Amino acid sequence: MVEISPILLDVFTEFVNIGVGRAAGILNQMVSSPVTLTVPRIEVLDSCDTGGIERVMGTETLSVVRLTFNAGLNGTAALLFPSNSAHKFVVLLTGEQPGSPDIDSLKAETLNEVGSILLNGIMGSIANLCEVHIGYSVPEHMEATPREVCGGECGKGASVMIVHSMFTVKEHLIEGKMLLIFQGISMQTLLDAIKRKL
Amino acid sequence: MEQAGPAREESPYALLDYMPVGVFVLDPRLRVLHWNSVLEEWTGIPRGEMLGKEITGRFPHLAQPKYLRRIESIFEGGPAAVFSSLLHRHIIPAKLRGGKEMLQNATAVPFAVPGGKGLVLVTVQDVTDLNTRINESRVTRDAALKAKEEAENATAVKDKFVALVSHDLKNPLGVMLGFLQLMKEDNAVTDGNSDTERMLDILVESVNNMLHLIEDVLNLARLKAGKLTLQQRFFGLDGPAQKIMMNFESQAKKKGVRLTNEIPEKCRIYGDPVLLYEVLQNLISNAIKFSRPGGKIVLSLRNGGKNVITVADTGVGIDPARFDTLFRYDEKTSTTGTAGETGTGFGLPLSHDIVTAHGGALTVESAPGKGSVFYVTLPYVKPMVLLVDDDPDIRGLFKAYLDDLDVEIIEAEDGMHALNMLKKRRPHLIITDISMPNMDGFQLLETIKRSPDTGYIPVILLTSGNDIATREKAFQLGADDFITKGQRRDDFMPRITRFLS
Repeated sequence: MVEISPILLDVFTEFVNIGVGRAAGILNQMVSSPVTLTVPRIEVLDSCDTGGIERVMGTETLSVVRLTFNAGLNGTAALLFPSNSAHKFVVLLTGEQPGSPDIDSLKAETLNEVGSILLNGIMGSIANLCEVHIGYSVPEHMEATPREVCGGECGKGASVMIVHSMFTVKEHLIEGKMLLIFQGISMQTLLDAIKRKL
Repeated sequence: MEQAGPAREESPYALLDYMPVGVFVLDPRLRVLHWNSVLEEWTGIPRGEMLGKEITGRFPHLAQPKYLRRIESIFEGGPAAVFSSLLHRHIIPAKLRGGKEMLQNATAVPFAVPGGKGLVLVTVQDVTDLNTRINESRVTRDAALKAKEEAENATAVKDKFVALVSHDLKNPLGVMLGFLQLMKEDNAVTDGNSDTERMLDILVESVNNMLHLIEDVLNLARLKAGKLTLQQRFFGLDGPAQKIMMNFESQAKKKGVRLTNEIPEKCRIYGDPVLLYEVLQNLISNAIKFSRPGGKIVLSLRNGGKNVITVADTGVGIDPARFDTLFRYDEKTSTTGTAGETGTGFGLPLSHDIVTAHGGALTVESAPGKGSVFYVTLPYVKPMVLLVDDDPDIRGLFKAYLDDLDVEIIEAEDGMHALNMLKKRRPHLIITDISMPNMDGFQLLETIKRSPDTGYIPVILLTSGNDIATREKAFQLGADDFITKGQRRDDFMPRITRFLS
């Protein structure tokens, strides 16, 4: 397990907040209602095992936008909402009303867009911080449990960060979580980069 | 100008022409390197007009930061960008056949071909059908909601109107009835003239009928407005049965119909006494209306007297084909009686609704010429008694007393505890001590009787003393009985069972 001191975590949280701020800027150009995004807390798990992730994220099926990254850093980034929050989020952003059997298809696409903007903001901050080039997969939306999202990713040497996120749209607070799983030496690369900024 | 056709296969992007979605490729200066045949068809813009030109020249909306910054971010190494139809409607404006605007989902991803790196490929998917289905579903749903709302509003207005009008009619009729009765009693008015007496009798009867009808309409309006709340309790059915028989006696006699009341004395039933009275009155009135001279009408109990009341007549009977519509307001169920009596047809539907509101059922067995039997079946309710006393031994004693009765017993240690229990449970009788900690029996009694939710529940107060001041206070606060502790079981039980079945 990679140790991360509270100071390093604070600095990293600042960087992530810059990334989500940029994402919020883009979102605000697209929707009529102001959206604010903040990351109040980032949690680093002791180890990457599905049991540990389930303790924090639960076992419910969630609405997930996920992408994998490689090259300079390797791993998976995912944004996870409880299904009802995801639905509410889309309704608030688009002004759509729930009730149609087909709305789920559009919800998936909209969440995919919002999720990709957010993950782009955070991964962009991490790439800048580490001064590395990162390659990405195309973001995909899925309905899955946290175990299904990260089951194949956890293993020897992987590290997990959980980014607690708060979205405010039209005075409604919606909570989501981002899961960052770093493979191999990626977490160490990130920590070294943070230390260089101190 | 480049044309669609075999020559295109030489292009490194040839494969993209086989994709069933719109595809275009941009270089870092946002110049179009490929414009596939699907986009040519959708936009009517030939590939030749797009190649080498900046995409923002032809589609200026793409210069907005929400597109430009995200596409530039891909050139800078960022992940793919998704543009959803809900947030953007479309990325490349296109018209469908019939002039309808196409709705699109689009995805921009990093792309490379031999000899060309650092490109962005944008795929555009037509999702109009999906959106159209959603919109159609929304329009249908909105229309249904609107229609439902309008219908509910109309019904509410109608119910309010009926309630107001009925109330305004009832008061003057009450005054008329009062003066008519005074006139009947005043010998100076009739002056021994039998014609005048007869006319006054007809007037009184007509006003009574109209009051009865208005009461039906009012109850119906309250029932439909959800304002008719049942005040159910165990009550003696014999008294109301006798009263109904007396009320209809002269009417039955005039038709030569015999009324028989077989409801036994001390029979108790669980329900709203006022509304069930209304039901029985309607059923007896109908039975007389459809009986011939010499006929017989019997009011009785079935099922061991627990929960089924019957009104049987030997009248003209009902065609079974009419059973389905008998209890419906929207069907004209009222037919003229055997002596030409008329009615509104409200009586049976209203009775049906009252019995249904009790959780019971109003049913009929009949055949033309064979008479009819109406069954008022009420749910069987096991009586529940709340014992309130801080002394567990006293509670134990009363539980032993009640052991022989088929009752459910719940217990509370003081007035406060009892009030908390009353939030969830509705006993049919409360037996409470007076001297208790936290809240005494008087405070409990006062609170119970003041609340419209619990005021109808009979309360028996228990005390060790028997002084007159305590007894007076108990009755002033609304106690239904007052029992001194230490009485023998045989003395005590009748005073409890009179409140239970």
